[in-house]
Amino acid sequence: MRLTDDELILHYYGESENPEAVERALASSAEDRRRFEALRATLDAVSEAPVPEPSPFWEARTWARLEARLEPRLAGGRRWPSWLRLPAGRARVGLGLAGVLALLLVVFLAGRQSGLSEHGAAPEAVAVGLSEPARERILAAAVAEHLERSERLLVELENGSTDVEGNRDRAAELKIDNRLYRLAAHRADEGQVVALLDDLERFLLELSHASPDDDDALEALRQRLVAQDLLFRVRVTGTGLEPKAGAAGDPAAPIL
Amino acid sequence: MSTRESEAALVARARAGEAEAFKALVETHGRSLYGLAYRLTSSPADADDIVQDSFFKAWRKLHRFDDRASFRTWMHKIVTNTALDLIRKRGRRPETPEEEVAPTALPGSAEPDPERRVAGRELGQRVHEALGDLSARERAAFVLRHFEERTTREIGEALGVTPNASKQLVFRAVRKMRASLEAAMAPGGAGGGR
Repeated sequence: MRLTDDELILHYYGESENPEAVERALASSAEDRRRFEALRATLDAVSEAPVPEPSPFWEARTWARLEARLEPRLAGGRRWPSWLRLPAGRARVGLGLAGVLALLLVVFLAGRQSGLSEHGAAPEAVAVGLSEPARERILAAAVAEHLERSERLLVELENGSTDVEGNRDRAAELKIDNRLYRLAAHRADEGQVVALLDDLERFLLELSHASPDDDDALEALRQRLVAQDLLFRVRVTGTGLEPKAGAAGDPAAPIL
Repeated sequence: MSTRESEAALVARARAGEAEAFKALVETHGRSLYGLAYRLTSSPADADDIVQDSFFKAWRKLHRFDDRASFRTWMHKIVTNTALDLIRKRGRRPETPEEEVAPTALPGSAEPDPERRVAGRELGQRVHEALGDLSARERAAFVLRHFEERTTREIGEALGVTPNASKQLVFRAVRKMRASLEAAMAPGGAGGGR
């Protein structure tokens, strides 16, 4: 009886249920031997297909990028400012709330910075019944949400999205929120975040005025996106704000 | 101290938040994971991102890692899932290689000669094209079986399918690979012994 293709494949990979029987069949059939040799030649050739070698500094580069993302949890390392940290397992704030929360928290941070709240001059926003940690969490969630939305837009743009009008509208919307967050970060003296939001805002501003007919201007914007490494910076900062352990499933669990 | 023990110690230190320990794990396993991610996607840029994302996920989930398991196997599962997730999100098959593939030196030769370099590049291109004709799951099953030497049972666990289903994925993948490659490899289009 001839061996089937599946039996030959299992035998090649050493998973045959009865390897002795397969060997005997191969020994007694020239045709089966020819088929098995053909299979082996093809699969052996596949094994020789090269994989491009990463650069000699690949490990160092990989670690540098990774370290920036791990920063919030690294022992003894520099940490994100407290107002940008999230507790474990918290849920994200809904999209529609982001702008409102930003306004509220700008006021809160302004009050904290200047001491206005202590003098009763700050608006009621400071006294909405939320504790300071709660307010910090809300702000962090709002910024994370904002950066995630911005990241989605930047990814689409970098991938050559041709929906200029749609992108323009989204940029205009994001620009407004961005301004509020930048102000909040500035008042909290978070220079690094201010720098990122500043670059992001300029970019969003130009994108919000982009003309669908001006291909050169759009290409220039895309090039600037790459040159400023804006997408990567947005991603890194946004990742630092994501919910920590317990909020997601096992990464090694099957997804299919 | 055995390799496994020293790795377990690194994992324990990394779990405690020690960056240097995690860095050592990245340096030990990074390249092999890059190779896996590249074979799953055919894209150096995607492979880079997948390895990054996978280590980031691992860092965040280290507390869930079972010390009795192999860190390498755990990471390979994460990379496979991350790659499949990427492919699924894009809703299409992986693209053909973005960059020219530079063949690595074969055992016993420090530098591939020009002829071998060209042959290796052509073979690499054909294999990547053939891999590109597979579905995401067939490709993952094939890469795990052929390059990672995982059993069909382990592949089933990684992909969340039964051992028999993973076996069928491997069979289909091999048949497709043969159909793509044998015609190209044999002069006159003669296939293998089917």
